[in-house]
Amino acid sequence: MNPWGFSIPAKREVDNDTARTLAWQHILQSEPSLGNCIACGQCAATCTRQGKRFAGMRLLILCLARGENQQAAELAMECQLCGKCSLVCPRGVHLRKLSLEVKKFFNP
Amino acid sequence: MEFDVFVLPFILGLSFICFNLVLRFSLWILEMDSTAKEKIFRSLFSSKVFYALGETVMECLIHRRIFRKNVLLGYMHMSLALGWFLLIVTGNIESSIFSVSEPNPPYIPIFFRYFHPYPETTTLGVSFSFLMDLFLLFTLSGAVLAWTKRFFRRPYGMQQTTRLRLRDQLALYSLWLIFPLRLLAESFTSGTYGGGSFLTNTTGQALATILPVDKLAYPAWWAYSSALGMFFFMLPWSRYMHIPTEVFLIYLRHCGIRDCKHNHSLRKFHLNACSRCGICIDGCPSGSIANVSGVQAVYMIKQVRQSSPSPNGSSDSCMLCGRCQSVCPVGVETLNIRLSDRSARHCFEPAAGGNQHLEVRIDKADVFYFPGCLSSLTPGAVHSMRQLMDMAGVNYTEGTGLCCGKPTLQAGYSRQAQLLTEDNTRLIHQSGARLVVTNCPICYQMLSTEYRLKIPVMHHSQFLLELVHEKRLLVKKTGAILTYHDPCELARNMGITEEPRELLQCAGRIKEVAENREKAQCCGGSLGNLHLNPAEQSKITRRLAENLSQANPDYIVTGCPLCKRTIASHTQLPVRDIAEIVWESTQTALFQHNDYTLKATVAEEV
Repeated sequence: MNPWGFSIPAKREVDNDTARTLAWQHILQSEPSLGNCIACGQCAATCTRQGKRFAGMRLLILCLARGENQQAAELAMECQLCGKCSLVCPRGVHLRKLSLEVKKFFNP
Repeated sequence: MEFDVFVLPFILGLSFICFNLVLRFSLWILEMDSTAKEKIFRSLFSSKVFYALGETVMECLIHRRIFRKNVLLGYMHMSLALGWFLLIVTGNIESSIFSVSEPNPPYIPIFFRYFHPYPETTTLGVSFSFLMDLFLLFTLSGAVLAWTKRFFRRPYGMQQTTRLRLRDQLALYSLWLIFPLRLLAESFTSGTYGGGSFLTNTTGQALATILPVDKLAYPAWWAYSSALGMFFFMLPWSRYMHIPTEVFLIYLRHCGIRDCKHNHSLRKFHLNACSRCGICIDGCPSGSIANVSGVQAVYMIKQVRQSSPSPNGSSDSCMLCGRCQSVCPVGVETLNIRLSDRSARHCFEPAAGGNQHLEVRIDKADVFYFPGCLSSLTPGAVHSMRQLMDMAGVNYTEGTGLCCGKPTLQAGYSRQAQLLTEDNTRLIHQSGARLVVTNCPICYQMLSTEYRLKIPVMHHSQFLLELVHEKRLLVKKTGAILTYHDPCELARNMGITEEPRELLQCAGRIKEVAENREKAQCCGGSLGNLHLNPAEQSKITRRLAENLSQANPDYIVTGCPLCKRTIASHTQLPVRDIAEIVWESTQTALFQHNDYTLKATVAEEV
């Protein structure tokens, strides 16, 4: 029990021990175009999987970079792989492949 | 009973192959579920057997589908299959008539000339010798063609042939050797004793002048028997397994057992029925344009046959465009094999709770319009559809932004896709609609084949054509020249090629490109691909855009939002959806109509 009344939800815990080492590194290796992302948010704007259950790729990439792996995995599972994010990405990030790689990484 | 020790390789090979095949096929059929077994058993006593037999003759012996592709290639396959078959049948009849030994074991017809070397004097005997020589010549011509095909492929209509494994090569070389060795053995015997007909007799007499044929005959018979035995031993492990399997596959198809996605034993029949003829290699966009190796159906099937699920990689670069399936002379369900291989690799449960995002209220209406999620990137088609349906007075409700589940299914996440289809089905039925209309061929295929809907599904080209026929839409032919690109899912997988054309004929003039309808190329943007990067995909798109531009049309027209988006990024020409073209032509019609009525009223007033 936390006596100070402050807490971080488990989902939002930033894990710097493993951030940018495990998930991020592995996924960057299997899809190098991930490095081109500038978090412009066009992928999130075009995603039709919005509303109650959101699957924007921008958030997914940010979560991965921060090491919020649990949320990244949940987001990836929501993705329906329609690939509109890949079509609109101005930096040529192969986001659909990225989503598949994240799915595979967290659910081997 | 006549016997010689040289027949042993043949006898051993034949017994091995019979035992092996009976065991394999019975195991595969036993693995099937009870309804399939019942179908197989029942069809034995129905007319389906005769249809299956007819198709077996046309496809396994005459190779009709290969003839349609290329006459020389067809003749090569036919001469080998039909020629050998006729040799066996005629040989059996010949030996049953002329053989003196009472039990007629299976090696007697094969080595008949050895056991009965003396020339026949009766007319019947002479004509049989003539027939046997004729069929041998027929088969030999096939073997020669097969050998030259390895070096000169162009005349056979092929750019590439299959790369073979060692066991395939062994079987191939022994097959090529069988017929020349038979010719040699029979000629040597004929040169020694006389007999034979125009081929073996002539060759035998000619050889007798330069070679000691009486001494060479026996080793030649040994070699012939060994080649046969070798071929039989290699058959179950090589591509020639297709010879017995294809016959079974044709019968199973006539029994109504299709769709090998969920039927593992049927999948084994399909995998083994692939003859690795290599006809699928040239048409494959990922293979021949994006230069991915190992993605073509023939190599994919080889991989899956070795180990299932296949090791990750080449199969993921496939566009699932279905070109390999449409050209396959055996009718192997390559798409289903790929899909089930993908699901075998990604078999985990989806996120808990399914798809609760679908807590949507849907209005009651007659028609459920399913724009498909990709239409949100090309809203022109959706906008035109709305205007057209309003104009025709269609009472419709819209499922904007819904995903049909096809992308997840194609990626191999079949459970996740199933949850989505169940939710969508509930939603569609809630609306009380009597018809689903979609303007995305990907959704159209998914809704028609994977959903269990109680109402019909239509592609928007079909629906609009019906509205035009019912005179609910007034269209006017404009002078525009249109080139129509057939989307893979619509044309090849669902067979809808004429409705879009008929509709476009009402609005403009169609100029066809060379590869159209079932032969259309993939646009490269396909969701079936999981692995190719955008640069490789754009190679495929560029090729298609070049081909479409050759007709120099005013508009490139297509019926798929994904094709439209992909082609538009690679060409200067305007790319339109069918609905947009129809909408523009209704506007022209309306304008002219109004103009006419205006003039009429002015004239009346005057």
